[in-house]
Amino acid sequence: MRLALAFLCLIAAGSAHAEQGDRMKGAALADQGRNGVPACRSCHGDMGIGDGSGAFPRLTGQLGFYLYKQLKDFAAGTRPSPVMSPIASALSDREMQDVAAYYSSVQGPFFPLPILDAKLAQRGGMISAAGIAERNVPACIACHGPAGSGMQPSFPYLAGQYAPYLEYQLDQFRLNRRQNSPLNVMNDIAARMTEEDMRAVSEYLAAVRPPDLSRIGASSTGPASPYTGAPLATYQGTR
Amino acid sequence: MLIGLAVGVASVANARAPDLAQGRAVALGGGAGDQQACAACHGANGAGVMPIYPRLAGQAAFYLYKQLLDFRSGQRESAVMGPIASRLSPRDMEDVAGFYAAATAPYSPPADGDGAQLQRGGTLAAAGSAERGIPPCANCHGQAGRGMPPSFPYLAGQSEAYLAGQLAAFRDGSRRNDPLDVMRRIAGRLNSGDVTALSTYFAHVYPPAREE
Repeated sequence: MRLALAFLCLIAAGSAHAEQGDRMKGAALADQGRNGVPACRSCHGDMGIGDGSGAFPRLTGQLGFYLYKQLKDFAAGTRPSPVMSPIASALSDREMQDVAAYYSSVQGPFFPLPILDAKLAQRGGMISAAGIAERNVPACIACHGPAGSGMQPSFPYLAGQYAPYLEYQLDQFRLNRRQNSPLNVMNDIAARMTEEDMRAVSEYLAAVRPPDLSRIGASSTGPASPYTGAPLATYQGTR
Repeated sequence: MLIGLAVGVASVANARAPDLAQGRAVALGGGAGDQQACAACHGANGAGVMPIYPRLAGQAAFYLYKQLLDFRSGQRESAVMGPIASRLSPRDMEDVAGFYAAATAPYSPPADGDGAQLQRGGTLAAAGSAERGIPPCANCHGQAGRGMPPSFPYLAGQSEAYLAGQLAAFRDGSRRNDPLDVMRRIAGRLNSGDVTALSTYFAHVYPPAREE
């Protein structure tokens, strides 16, 4: 109930923002930066797909309001980051909206995944779909949408996000270094998870390709497996 | 790619284009005389058969050629590559460099790295550290370590052990073939945690796609 109320407040407060941004201005900022603000692209890659390593999260197609709120929280310090906090602090509210609008409007391809540990992935899939009843860990999909594909406006997609990034964020929640989830619900959840749980669910979610993105892989530019998503040819074209 | 190759060859002050068939012969069978095949360690496609051997596939031709010259002169010390390079003719070097620059090799991403390490390495690579006088790797090696032909090699997808080994070699001076000492000065400012983080990061970045 507490939770539901907080979510309602968030929705009421935030739903308008993503649509307000100018994605063309956002694209310019993302690709070139400006004086005092490095280009987002220099770490987050072309179209926000990252670089395959998992050092930097995928931003492509992420929910606009979520992205906007993260920038606000980086600036405010509820999500402290030695890299992102100074950058976010240099952005105007308008620029945050623009750049969030840009990244939420693009759909970049996926890099091929490392070979998946099937046992680990199965365990992660169970946690994502059903939670861990005995430790009161709810299913990820309860908030993050079917197969972790995200839920407007506040719950980011997890499907296809880089595993090292997801695992690192869970750990940041567990250590209470990241305190920007509604009512700190992610901190509570992460505190009930073991390292192994975190790894399993991260590896699983990273391997999921949301159904609405899989059609990119069906394009004529080349073959795609369920694990590789869009063929890399798409990425080569953007160099 | 073609332009990169052309620039590379031009800067060798030798207008001759590398003979890729001859380069392939050197890679697979060694040069004239008693010569080891490059492919024995680096693979026929330049993927590297073990993590300590660097990936050569799609690397800038001029960079590869220059490394062979530097192995021969001892500017880049290597007990293995020194003798091999000294038995290659400059023409063989050009050809085999051209062959591996044109090669494509699949990249199998290594198992996922540690998130904190990746972030540390990735941040240092993209932004450097102003207070410690460490420039971003991306300044010379390109965004996400994609390389800037003809002189700056790609780092993305290179093996972790190799990268860490080279940073150590720059630091101890056994590799001193970098322009204007720039890598030796940078490596001297990196601590061992930085070296690990950077090597982990670049090893996990998807290597640059070659334009056909």
